[in-house]
Amino acid sequence: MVSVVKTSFENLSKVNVKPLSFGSDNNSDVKPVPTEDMMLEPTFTNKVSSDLKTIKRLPGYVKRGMQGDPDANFYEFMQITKIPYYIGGPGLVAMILAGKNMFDIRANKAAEFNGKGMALGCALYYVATSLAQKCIDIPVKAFRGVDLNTPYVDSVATSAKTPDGISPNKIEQHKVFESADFARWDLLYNKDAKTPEDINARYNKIAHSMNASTDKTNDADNEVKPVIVSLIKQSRAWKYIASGFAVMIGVGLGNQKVMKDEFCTGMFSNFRQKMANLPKSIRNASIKNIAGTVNMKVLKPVGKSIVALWKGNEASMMSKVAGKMAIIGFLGSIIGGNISILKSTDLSKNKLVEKEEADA
Amino acid sequence: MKITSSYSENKNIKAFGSNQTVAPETPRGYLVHENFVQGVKSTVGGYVKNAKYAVDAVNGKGNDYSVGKINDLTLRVGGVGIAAILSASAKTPIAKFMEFAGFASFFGAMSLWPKFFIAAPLKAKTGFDVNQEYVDSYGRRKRFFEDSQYLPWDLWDKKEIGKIGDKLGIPKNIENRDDHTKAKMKQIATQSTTLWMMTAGFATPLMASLMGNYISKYSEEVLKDARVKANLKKAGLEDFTKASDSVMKKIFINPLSSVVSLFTKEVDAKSPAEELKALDKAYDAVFGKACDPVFEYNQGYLLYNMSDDMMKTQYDDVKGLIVEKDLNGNVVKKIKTKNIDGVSIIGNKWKEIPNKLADILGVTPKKYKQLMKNSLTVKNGTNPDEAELLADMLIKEFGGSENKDKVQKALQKMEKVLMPSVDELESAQHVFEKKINEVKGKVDANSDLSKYIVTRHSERLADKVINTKSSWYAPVRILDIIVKHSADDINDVEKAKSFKAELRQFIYGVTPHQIHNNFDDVIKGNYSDDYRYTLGINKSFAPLCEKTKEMLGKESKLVKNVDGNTNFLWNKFYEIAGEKGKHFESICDWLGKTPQAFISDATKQTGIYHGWLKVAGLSFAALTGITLVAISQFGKSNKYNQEVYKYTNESTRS
Repeated sequence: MVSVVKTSFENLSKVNVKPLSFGSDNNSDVKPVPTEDMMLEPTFTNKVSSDLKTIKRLPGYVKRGMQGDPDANFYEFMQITKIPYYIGGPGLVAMILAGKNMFDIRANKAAEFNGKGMALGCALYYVATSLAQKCIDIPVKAFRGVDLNTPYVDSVATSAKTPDGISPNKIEQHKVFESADFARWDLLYNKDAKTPEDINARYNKIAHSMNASTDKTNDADNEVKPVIVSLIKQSRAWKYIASGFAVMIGVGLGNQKVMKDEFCTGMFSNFRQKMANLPKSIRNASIKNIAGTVNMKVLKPVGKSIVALWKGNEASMMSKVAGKMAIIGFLGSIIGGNISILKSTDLSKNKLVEKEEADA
Repeated sequence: MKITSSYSENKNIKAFGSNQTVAPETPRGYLVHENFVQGVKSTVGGYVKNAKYAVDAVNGKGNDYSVGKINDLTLRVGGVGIAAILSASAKTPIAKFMEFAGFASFFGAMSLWPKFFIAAPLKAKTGFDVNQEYVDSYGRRKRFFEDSQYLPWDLWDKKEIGKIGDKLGIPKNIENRDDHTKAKMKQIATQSTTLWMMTAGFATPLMASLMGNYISKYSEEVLKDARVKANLKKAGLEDFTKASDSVMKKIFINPLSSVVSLFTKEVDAKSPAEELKALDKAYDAVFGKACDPVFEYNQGYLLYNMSDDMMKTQYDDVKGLIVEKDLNGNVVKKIKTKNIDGVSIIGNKWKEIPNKLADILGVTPKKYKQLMKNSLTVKNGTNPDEAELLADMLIKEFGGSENKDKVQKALQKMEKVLMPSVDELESAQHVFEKKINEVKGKVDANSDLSKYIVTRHSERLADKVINTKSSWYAPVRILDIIVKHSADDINDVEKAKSFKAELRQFIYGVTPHQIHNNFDDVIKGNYSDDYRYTLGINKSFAPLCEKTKEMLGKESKLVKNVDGNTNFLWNKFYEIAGEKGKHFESICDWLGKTPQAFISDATKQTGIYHGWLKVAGLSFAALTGITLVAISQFGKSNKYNQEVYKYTNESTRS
């Protein structure tokens, strides 16, 4: 690739073509970007702002992708893949609702009914998937000290943009542990620290969380790295497995009759009406009722729906098996995943090799 | 599979600064070239591999690639699970099948869209496949252009790159031509994957619903055939099929051909109208009672009655016809009753069903008979007020809250008993229909009248099956409604009004919205048994519906202004329908809706269905159009991809 660019620029100088114009966004609006990768503390704010930044850059990725920018990379592609992920489900619901008018008024309701089922199914799928992820991430963080969502700012060098070879870096939001093959170990060291303990502080903390007796070793980093690698793989695998069941759970729950009948039915219209008609003092009181309404219109239907999914249709063996399989599989992959991950990343029984010992 | 690695020849390479000949590991990567069968094979193999990857990964083994692959597997397994869950609530086997078909069309659309609407046109334009896959030295299969920062170009044949360069219009006399070609390929690949992701979210649901629409249209018959075969086997009816050849011949071919030949002789000189009348008479004489809708509790069983009525020869005027004749009409021998015993056994088996249902429900067969007989009498339309009485009676019997759980459980058990029996019944119908068609083939040559008689027979056979089903399902449907309503609903005057109206409609066997929905299908010619059953419209309506469809097709202007032309439509319909129109009118009357309204609704629905198809089709076409336009622009120079070449020979610059 590099040779192509070079050839182009050599050629440029010879034929005296007007220097490449890189568009206004490249010259005038260039903001200085950090040239070094930087880990961010895994706080809620940092994670959210990191996600928001990625979303903000998405149109840019699409724009450059559509033009075939040689600097478009796999990371950008992966961000773009989220577009169909979030459009496809609602798209299907839209197709059902578009067919709504195919029926008379009563059947219209049926189409709406099915549309509601699919819409709830989609939403619940997204919810169940992220729930599954949280259910793996949180225990891993709590018990092993590894926050799998630790963000870092990746400063990526792009190919040369000018004849002088100026290649502006671009910024991507990554996660330190997103890759098992190339986890960013370097970012976890405290580079400015003086003592080995301080440099290794993060690794020591993780080793401690993994129940290793950290005082026996002075290279906790090398001890925990392979364990973290295995942890990344396991957690991703269990998340994927759980999300497979989450598909079943989401659409299965959403399409239970009780869910379509009761979930949020008339909740907002009633609420708005009631609120408008009430004097302020009572309004405050009725806010207390919100909890009751949520219980009635959200939690109870979900609960009933779970029971219905579990029981399945008496007449259909398949539904009984599939419903139970979805629930057992979902919970099983979360619980089993946690047990398996925490068990295999427990270093309390491993005899840590002390550095001197290892050298000898 | 063809291996096109340019590396494969480099067996021995000298190590740097060493005299030793070191043999580095030979890269075993290659581009994948597969035909369809190989593709399917490796897809299946891929899932097996993914399952292994999953096992590895939960043990902390593997790498980013193998862990990522698990997602493909789990999503699809989840998809099958969804179909299984959704199909459970579907009532008919076709609907059950459609849940899986829906799943298949969704995932099908997901992979077909990028293949046929992006990669294929691009390949035609550029000569290379943007979805080209390769297998790396570790056996990992990936899209070649997946990571545009890592493209293992060594796997490509140089000649191939040259050819692609020609097709892409890369000048021939430039330095590093292959590099320019590769850069252009990379640009196009990046553009195509972006386009794929931008369009997939819209294309997949659109394509899936269009595909689903057509699958449901065409799969019904195919599926039915397969199901019938399986059911016959499962129900132990295989012998019946075998025996049917001789048994059926006796039951159908000969009496029928006898009738045909007899009446063609007799009515030759008379007017066609009289001919038909005579034929109807003869037909009724032979099949009459057996084929007419039977509303008595233990008589709704096709084979039982068919054989019984015929063989008991209760009709004197038929007696002489029950003889075996060859196709030329010569009497071979008389048929004896015992020849059809085998058939009767099956009839008796079905006869048991109401008894079983009564048993499940915990009422005596007598009581059950009484309830159901009443309901079916009402269904017959003789005395609508009885529906009211019956509704009360049923509520009293089963509506109490203390009975609810019992009835609920009974319903599920009843469903279990009915499902296989309906399958058997339908399978038998299938066998009979096949026979009738055979007969039709054989007697077609005789006259139009024979065609008429066979068609009528086939219609009546269908009616009979429908009525049998309806007599079985009536209690299930009615109880279903009762159970769904609480005691409060039943006691609340206002609620009870609508509840009873609903019940009444179900007792009648049809609800207005079912007529709305299904009449549309009847008009479109998709009159499956279920539709006809719910409609109370039988197969004899088929030609009527065909004609109505034709009429509506011709009157496309009317479809746009249905409300303004309701009367016109109804008159047209009535013109075609004749006496059947009256029957239809009486159904409408009882259900409290004018036939005009039914017709206009049906017409509207036809219009709206076509409208939906049009919108979905047009949206898809528009999306395809946009995609193709975008593709046509791919590979053009832009600010990121400048076409600046260094020519080897200045004079040939153009």
